[in-house]
Amino acid sequence: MIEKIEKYIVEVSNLVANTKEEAENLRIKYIGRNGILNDLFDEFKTVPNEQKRSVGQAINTLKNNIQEKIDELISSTKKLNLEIKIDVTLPGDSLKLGSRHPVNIIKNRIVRYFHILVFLFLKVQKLKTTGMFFRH
Amino acid sequence: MQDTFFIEKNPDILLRTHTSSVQVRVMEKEKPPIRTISPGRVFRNEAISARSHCIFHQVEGLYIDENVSFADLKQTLLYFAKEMFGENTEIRLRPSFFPFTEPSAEVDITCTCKGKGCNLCKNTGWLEILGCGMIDPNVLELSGIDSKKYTGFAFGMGVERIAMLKFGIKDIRLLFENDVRFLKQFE
Repeated sequence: MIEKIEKYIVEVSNLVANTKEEAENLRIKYIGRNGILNDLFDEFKTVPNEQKRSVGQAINTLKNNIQEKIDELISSTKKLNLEIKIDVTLPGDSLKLGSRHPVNIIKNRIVRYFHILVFLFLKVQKLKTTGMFFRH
Repeated sequence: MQDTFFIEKNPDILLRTHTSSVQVRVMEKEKPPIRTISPGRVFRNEAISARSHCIFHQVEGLYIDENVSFADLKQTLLYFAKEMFGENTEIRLRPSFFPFTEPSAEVDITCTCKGKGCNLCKNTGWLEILGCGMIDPNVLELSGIDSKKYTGFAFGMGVERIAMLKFGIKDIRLLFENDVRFLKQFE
């Protein structure tokens, strides 16, 4: 029985899947309810007690290998699908710019209305000496 | 001296409490005719409430030339009110006092409730939006401008006040909270 399990281990390491469906089918084949792994566990009951330890270890290795391989296949086919979906010739998604602050909207409007009357725009520093404020 | 946000002592440096200082500078540097509009952020040591904040924005206008009269001021403000609040807006000037202008006036516009009376205008039908006046001849003289030859007017308004009226914002603090849900509404 150990030989049988080792054969499966080799088989599993060579698995390939190009689409999500193929990967899913492999999953069913190996870990599904009537899959190879369950058959092996059923067979395990008939194994004589002296061999149980080594056969059990082998089955567990196989089980872990299968799980890893299938996960790997599923994630790689997902990646594959994503790559196919991106059409590099399409225009990109534009970044959404923020909006103006309501105070700035109004300020700009006020300045614009007076600009029409040829009032010139002036910008000056925010720090002052007291002389400019409290002079009498 | 009023308490405000001082940055340094000797010489006293502070965050400006109004944008009128810009006008002093312009009058000292430039020769008439002068026509400027100066928006800016100003800072006052005030309690923060729904109606007032320690940071806000002002826009000030200044116009100095020969034969500038109060009628020019009125017409300029009427033009502004109609542009900002709609063609049917009227203005009302109430005598007031500001240190740099003589005579001075506060300007109200008609409320959107059209005089019926609402919470916004506290049932008066009028909303105060700015202060203005003819520049005091002494101010002109101090800045080296011949007050016999030139006259001028100045006006100043709070941007937040107008934004709140315009967009129906109830609390001034919303403008400074940077809440994206609030800001998103002005795209």
